[in-house]
Amino acid sequence: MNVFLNVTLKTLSRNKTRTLVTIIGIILSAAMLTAVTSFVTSLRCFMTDVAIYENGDWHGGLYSVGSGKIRELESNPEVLHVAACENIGYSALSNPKYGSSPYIFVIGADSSFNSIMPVHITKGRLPETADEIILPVHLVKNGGTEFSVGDRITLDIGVRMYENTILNQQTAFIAGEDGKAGEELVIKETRTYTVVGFYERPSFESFTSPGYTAITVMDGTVQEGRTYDVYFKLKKPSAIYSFIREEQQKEGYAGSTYNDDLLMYSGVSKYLGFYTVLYSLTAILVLLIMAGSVSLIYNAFSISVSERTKQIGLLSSVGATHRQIRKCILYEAMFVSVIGIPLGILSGLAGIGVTLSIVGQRLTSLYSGDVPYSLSLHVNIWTIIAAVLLAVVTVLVSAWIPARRATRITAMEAIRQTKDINVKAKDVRTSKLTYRLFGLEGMLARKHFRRNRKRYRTTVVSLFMSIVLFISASSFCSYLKDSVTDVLKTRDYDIRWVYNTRAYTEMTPRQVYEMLAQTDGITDSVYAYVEIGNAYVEGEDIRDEFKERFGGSAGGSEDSGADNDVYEIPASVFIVPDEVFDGYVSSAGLKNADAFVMAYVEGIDAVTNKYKKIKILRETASALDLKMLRSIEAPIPEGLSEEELDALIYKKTTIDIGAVVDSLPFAINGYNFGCNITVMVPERCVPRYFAGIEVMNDVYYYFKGKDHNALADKLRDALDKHGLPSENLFDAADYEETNRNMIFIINVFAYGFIVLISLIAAANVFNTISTGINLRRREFAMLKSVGMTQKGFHKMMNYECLMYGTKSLLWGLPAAIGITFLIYRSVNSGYETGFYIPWVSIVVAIFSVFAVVFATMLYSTSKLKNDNIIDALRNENL
Amino acid sequence: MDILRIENLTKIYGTGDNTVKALDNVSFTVKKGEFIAIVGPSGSGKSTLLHILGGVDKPTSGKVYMDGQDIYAQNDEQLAIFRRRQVGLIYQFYNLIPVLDVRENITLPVLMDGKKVNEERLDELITFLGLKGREKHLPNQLSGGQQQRVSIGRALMNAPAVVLADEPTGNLDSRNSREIVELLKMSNKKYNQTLIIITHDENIALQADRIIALEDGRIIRDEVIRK
Repeated sequence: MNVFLNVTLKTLSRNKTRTLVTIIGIILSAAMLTAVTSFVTSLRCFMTDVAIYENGDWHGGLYSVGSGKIRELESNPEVLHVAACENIGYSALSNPKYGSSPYIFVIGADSSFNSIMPVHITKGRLPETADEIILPVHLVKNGGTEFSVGDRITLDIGVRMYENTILNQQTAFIAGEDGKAGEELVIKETRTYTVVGFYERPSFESFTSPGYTAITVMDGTVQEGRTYDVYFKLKKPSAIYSFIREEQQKEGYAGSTYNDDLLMYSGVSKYLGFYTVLYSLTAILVLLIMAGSVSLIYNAFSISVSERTKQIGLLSSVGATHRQIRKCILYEAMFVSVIGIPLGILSGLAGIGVTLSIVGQRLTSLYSGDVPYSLSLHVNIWTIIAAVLLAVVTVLVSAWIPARRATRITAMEAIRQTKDINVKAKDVRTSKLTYRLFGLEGMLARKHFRRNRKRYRTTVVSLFMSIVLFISASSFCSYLKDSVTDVLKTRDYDIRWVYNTRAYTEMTPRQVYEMLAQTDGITDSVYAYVEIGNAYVEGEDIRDEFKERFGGSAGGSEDSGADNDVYEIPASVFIVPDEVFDGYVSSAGLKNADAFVMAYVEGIDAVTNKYKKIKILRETASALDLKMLRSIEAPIPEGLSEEELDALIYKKTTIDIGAVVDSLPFAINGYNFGCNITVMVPERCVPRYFAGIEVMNDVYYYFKGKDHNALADKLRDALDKHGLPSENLFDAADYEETNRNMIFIINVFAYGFIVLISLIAAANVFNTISTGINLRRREFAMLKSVGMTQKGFHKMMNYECLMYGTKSLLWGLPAAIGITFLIYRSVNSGYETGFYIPWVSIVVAIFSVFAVVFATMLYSTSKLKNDNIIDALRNENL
Repeated sequence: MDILRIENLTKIYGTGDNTVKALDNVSFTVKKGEFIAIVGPSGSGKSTLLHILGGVDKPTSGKVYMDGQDIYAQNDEQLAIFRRRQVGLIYQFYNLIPVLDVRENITLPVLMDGKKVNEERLDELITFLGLKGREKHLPNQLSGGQQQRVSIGRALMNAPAVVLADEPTGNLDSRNSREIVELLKMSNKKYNQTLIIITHDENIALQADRIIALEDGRIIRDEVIRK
């Protein structure tokens, strides 16, 4: 074996601790790099799977082609697979909800269609013969039909004609207008089908499609004039654009489409937004990891070179060339890499695998779709290769400069055994003050510190980086948490649904409520008509506290003309059923009245950063002026002045307030954030106060249940059954859960990353300090021989620790606070918050820094305790 | 025949206020097979001279010719190989590689060349040095005298033209000192190897063929005492 390799390996095994620490550093770095690359791969896999689930496993599609085209595509060597459906025809619905979609559109699927295209069965099964059919679920809701599995339906099927052209599913319904006739359905045949199942609304049917797509089986008979839609996947996704362009030139071309989502995740599409973002974020993260790792590994090799100075000088004097010396260091790099990188990759995969199994479910719940996948670990050979390459580059970059430095070590340095020729007096000069305050030990400590600046700088920089990263990450997480959890802080309901009474007249709002209230699992519910307007309150009814904080912004003088200042404050009026109002009156022990008012400003106090609630109105307020929208039927004439317009659109009304209260019944707590007055009025008072005002249009329903997810589904079903707009159902609890999940995930990743970087920093510190001590064994022996006690020695080391700690904190804390400020600024642009300093993490950082430094010192000096003074002085073969 | 020719060798250390002239215009020649002792008080420039001869330290000005070749006209790589093959350096503080054993330390120059070790020669050397049976020992398992012998072994392994020794006995007791000098003398006679020793010890100096005395970087006496 090469003697240089031999010497290197033996040296490494002698310094087991330092070698081990270096290997650990490489493992950490390789693990993080692997985690990043495998996360990216897994994410890409997941997004691709989702895209296929939602849109199908195809790249491009051609509409209305002949059967020959299908065969042509199937035999094309560039094409991976083909799915086709026969456009059988349209059948008119008797009572469609939307005039733009008045048909059922029947298609016959070939053998691959139902597996390649997003056909997801919700009830029953797929059709197997040409007289079985499945219907889309939204047909029930929107089509005004009542079909169930097992029904036999007979459809008169034909083609849509307009001005002698046949229309296909890509052309929207053409209605007749102003005397001109619209499209016509020309019936060609009658078919009978058995409904065998229902499937989810497919993505290949657009919202403006004229027909609801029902799927049967392609019957194989070639009919005159029958067209087909064909979807295909290419072996090379990037070829799709030129492929379709070619098709567009061919005769009989009638339209095409691209599966943009899948193409994007396959890295092809012109709109590579997803990948641009993903890869740039990844690059930043990778650079951060590499920077952190390089600092550790560079330091490790740098130390190695220092320790091997004598050895290297000796080898040089015996006749080793520069290249051979450089190889010595690079052999060291190779050795630690060969052990560290594979271990690192394995632990990185394991780590991200475990993380994804914990966090994957929450991540996919963030994605607003109902997909049967969760983000799990997927890697391919490129993932590993990328990680290995990055790790190798990191190690090489770290080892290069120390290797070059090694070549500059002259034999003279080895022979003389000291490098201190270079110490300049002014470098190690310390002030008399140091001596007076801290004694000899302090002065020595300071001189040592100043003499070996470069080495100590590395330690300080390592600590500095860790401090900054740690505190910044904590700030980031806590600001983020605040910005998200505030929003629905005092919500007491889980689910909210609203509809407009004009759009639905089959049931009264009360009947709707009673219908919905029968749903299983409701623990509390209420409904109310909600309107908004502006309240005008006299200054004497406003609390001082409110005036102080918001006097300027909440309004100034108004049109009252009186001496008092009048405040204009947004208001929401809840018109509740009489029994709800009366129930509240008795349970709250109030005297009956026409209205009750709750008026708060809620938010995070910008100064104290605490949640604060300020009352607006004094208890003495007895009446409230409201300005609300007038009920207008006639069109608004032109040319009116602003005042005339104002008077025409708005109407004022004055409400007698029974009391200003602290809380209102379930869910009637109004809009919670910002400045708002909530007025609760019973239905019976409407004629008295709201005549001529636009009220009782929007009805809000609030529900709370044990399992809000299940409740939301059941309510949606009930709404669908009655033709009410279930899409307005808002699961507030779910929204909050989503935010909590997001916070959790961010916390996991941020803190995971920080812990790893900090470990690297701690390793760095350990390496530097312990080596520094090792190299100064002779000095310490000399001090001991001159008469320094063990206690004095410890004092000296403690001073050094203090210097490391304070120096790194002196730089690190201001930098970290600066970054916290930047985080505050960026969060503040979206949502108002106060600037606060994360004291807890600062304390933790300070504590950790000193803990690491002192622990390292203790460990290293304990090894020196037993040094024989004379042996150390001679420094032979130590 | 002149194996070594030194012309106007000057070495200055330090800069500005702190310059030290270690060697001041030193010139002399050495014949093949000569045994030279260099003597002089501390700070006279002896070690500096030896190191320059050994290709380990570069002169500020002047030339060193070994076997007719200007050794400092070479680039770093050639100089390294020169050190490996043409000279053998022995220091006061043994300067062995602590992680290599006796055998590896002795054969270090050969291993660096990547050549195969001449086992016969090695065996001969080890016997000659009285290290038989200790081939696998590490330096910290050897006594001071034994370590110095290993140093000598390394210096002799490649049969260099010149062996340079800087106070080789400075750290040894009288018996070991005598033995070491005997070994060096034997090698000098047996292989007709040029030997230059720096020493404080008068007894050792008197065993040489020629004594060169340095003081303040200059040769003050150059005397052949034995033919």
